[in-house]
Amino acid sequence: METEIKKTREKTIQEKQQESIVLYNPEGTNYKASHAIKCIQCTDEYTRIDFIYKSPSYYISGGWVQIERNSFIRPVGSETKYSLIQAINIPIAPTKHFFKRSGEYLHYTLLFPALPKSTRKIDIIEKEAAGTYFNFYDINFSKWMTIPHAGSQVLSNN
Amino acid sequence: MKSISIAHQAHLQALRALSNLKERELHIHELIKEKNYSAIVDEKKHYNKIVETLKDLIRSLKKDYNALNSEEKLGEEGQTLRRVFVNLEHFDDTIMP
Repeated sequence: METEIKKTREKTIQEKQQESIVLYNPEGTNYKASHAIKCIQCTDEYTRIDFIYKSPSYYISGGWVQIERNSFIRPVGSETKYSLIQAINIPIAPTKHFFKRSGEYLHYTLLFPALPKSTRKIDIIEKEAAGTYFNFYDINFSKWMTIPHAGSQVLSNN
Repeated sequence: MKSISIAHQAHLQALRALSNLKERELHIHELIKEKNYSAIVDEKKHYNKIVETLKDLIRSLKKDYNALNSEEKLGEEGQTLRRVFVNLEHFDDTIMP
């Protein structure tokens, strides 16, 4: 008896990343905004959210930023919290990132566990308390663009 | 004698876990540079598991240490346990964010 065995091949990082779609916030290109969500990537393994922060003009040196260790995302209408796994390019409180001047941009990424496939809207919560925390409510990313912002395009080496 | 051996084992286990954590931290930094997000998530899960195990170990050892009488605390077992606590005194501050 002959059996046909199909060889399996491990996917490359690039292939895995292409499988999931990155959704770009149309408002993410608004460079006048002080703080915006640039894009969201939902995969079977993680949820990646990229942000753009512009240091405010009311601080001469631009002030500082940090993110709470207990930040989380929550599908709208659900009580389930998906806790922060990794913050990239932004320090966890009490450590601070100090800007050199106002109007300076900081691009940072937060990684969370994978969301249920049916999720369309989420709340991104740094901390629900009095103070200036990075909280975004009712983010409907289901209709965001699949085409990257011009600034996110990888430039040719030529 | 048996408890001394357990204290030494715990000390070694804690030191091994600390060095394992440092290696994983370096690996996570490499993965961040590569933008390999799924591997970062995977590695961070392992990292957090080691952190939790180590915290459980310290908690349990502190309980054992507090149960010793003052003479035992000055003995070899007590000193070994104290060495573990000194090594891990600022552990929370060194955990990767």
